[in-house]
Amino acid sequence: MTHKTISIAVEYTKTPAGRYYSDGSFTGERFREEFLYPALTKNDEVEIDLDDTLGYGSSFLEEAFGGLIREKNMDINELKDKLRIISSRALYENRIWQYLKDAQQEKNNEKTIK
Amino acid sequence: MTACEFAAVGWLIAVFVALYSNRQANKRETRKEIRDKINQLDLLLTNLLDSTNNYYLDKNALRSKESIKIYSYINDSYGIIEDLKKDIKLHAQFYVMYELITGDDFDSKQHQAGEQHAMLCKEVATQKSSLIIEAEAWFKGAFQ
Repeated sequence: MTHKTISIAVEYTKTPAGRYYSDGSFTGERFREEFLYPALTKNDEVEIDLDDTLGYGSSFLEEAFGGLIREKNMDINELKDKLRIISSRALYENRIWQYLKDAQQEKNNEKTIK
Repeated sequence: MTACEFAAVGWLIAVFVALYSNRQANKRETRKEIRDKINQLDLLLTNLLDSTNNYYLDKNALRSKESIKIYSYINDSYGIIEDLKKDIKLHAQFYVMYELITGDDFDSKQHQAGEQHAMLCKEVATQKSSLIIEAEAWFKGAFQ
């Protein structure tokens, strides 16, 4: 079983900000594409450490995590098995799981309509 | 009733009075703690609102400075909301504020301050107001 921990503050940036690549240098989309999704495809379990940054905007978190379901076609049950969030501030962990649920719900609704 | 029985009843009354006084003192202490937390939360959310208005509306504001303050007020406010959670549930309103303030093009290099964000700022102010009203209503119901 392979395991990887990514500390955003250490391996990415202490100042995560913005949603899309076009929003800046350390955005949610870039984190998902270059760090989070590759780690999830190569490991059985991935821990994301959110601590030691100033904070996270909802646009960053939604794009990074909700985008796994929306853009990368992952499934929330798969993510529940593989993804662990470490954070001393419950706000961000709560929000991430909510964004994942919302993205899954949206995907399910689209399938029903089709 | 014998003298011994009188003494026992006296002791019993004294114990009940002491227990009641202690309970009242604890209730006063809890009331004071929660009052202080609600006041702190109100102040933090007012500051959060000010920084949000500066960030979104004021073209002359230093954006990065306001953004740093916003994160700091969000983190501190949420800490108090967590502290209060066994008594008052304020999470839902706070999440709406968080989404409004830090969603969309927040912290994007493409962000432009101006009147186009007036509605967002009004919604944040409304949400802040309803969160505090709910906290105050709970407090009034619990302690007055």
